[in-house]
Amino acid sequence: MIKKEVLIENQLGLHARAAAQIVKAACAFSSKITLVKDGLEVDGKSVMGIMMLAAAKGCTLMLHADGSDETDAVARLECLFKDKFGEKE
Amino acid sequence: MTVKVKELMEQAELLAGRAGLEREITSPQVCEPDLSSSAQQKNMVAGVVHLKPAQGAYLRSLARPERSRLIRALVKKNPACIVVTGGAVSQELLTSAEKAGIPVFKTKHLVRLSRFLVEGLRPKVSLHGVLVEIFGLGTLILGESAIGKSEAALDLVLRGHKLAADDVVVLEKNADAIIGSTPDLAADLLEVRGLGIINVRALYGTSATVGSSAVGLVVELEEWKKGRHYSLLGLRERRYRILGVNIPYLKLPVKPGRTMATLIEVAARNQLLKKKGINAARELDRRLKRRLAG
Repeated sequence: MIKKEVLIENQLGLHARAAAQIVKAACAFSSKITLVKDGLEVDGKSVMGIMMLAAAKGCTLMLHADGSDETDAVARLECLFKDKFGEKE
Repeated sequence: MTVKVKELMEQAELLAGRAGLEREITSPQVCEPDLSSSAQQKNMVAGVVHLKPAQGAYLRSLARPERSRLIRALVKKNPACIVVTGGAVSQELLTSAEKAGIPVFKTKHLVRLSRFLVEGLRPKVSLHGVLVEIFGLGTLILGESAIGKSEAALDLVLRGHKLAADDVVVLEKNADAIIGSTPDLAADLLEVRGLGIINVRALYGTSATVGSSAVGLVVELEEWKKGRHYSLLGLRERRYRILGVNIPYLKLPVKPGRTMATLIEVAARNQLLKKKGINAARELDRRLKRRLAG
């Protein structure tokens, strides 16, 4: 299991489209992916769950991945956050 | 679990100590000190301190030096916040609390505030799953993503059962019961792959959803794996532990041709029967033993 802290840098936070991008990326991996914020733990392969975090810009989340491809999964998801989900400033 | 002092702003009026609004309350216990007794003050716990009207009157009745001494002692205990009910509030208390950054509130509804604390500090956990109330029995459906939990829930709603939460289920312990509900943001919504997010209440009416439900059964959906053993008779009853409470649990293997909603509905009916003491597996076992004994 890998745990990694990620910062939400994009202006809009984890809105619907950003959440959908995470799910799309997460579903490509077989590992179990979980996002955690303030004790609320949600499935990284569920768009509803991610939106329930109501994570705004500046929040930090913990990214957990558990499975055979956990390293790649975390790296791929981290990229999405760093890339601000392709949002233009 | 913690509640921040600022969350009390909706319950009571803030008089001083704005700087301390980020302080955390960890216990729902409200301490009501008797300022006239020095012994009791020593036992005071640092949480929420409630000054009853009589205590305010007592403070006012004292000469200034004694009053200041008591107030200093109270503030030094470093309570998360002080709540005052009834009567005028001593200016010295406000000044000292302001300096120490301890919020002081005034309210007429201490009961409401107290209930808010109890509710906010109840043990809580969130799980990935779906909660449906089936014939009044809160049934928590667990399983990996895309195994068909939401689809099963939709089927159950079509059969007249009620959706309580989809995807994120917040579970709270209330006495010996585990109460499940949805985060406000997700109320009435269900996510079904291919359809997206649908509003069950708008589609099927108010009776199709319920705000919260006591969890009486946990069903875990799992992909059917060859060689794995699944319960054949149902004689052995398994439990799933949530916040220290054991809840009847069963694992249902998913396979094409098995209608999950039907199986879950039957599981709920069966659980309700078991509560009434009717257990089909034990019944069969009894009949068989009788026959074998001749």
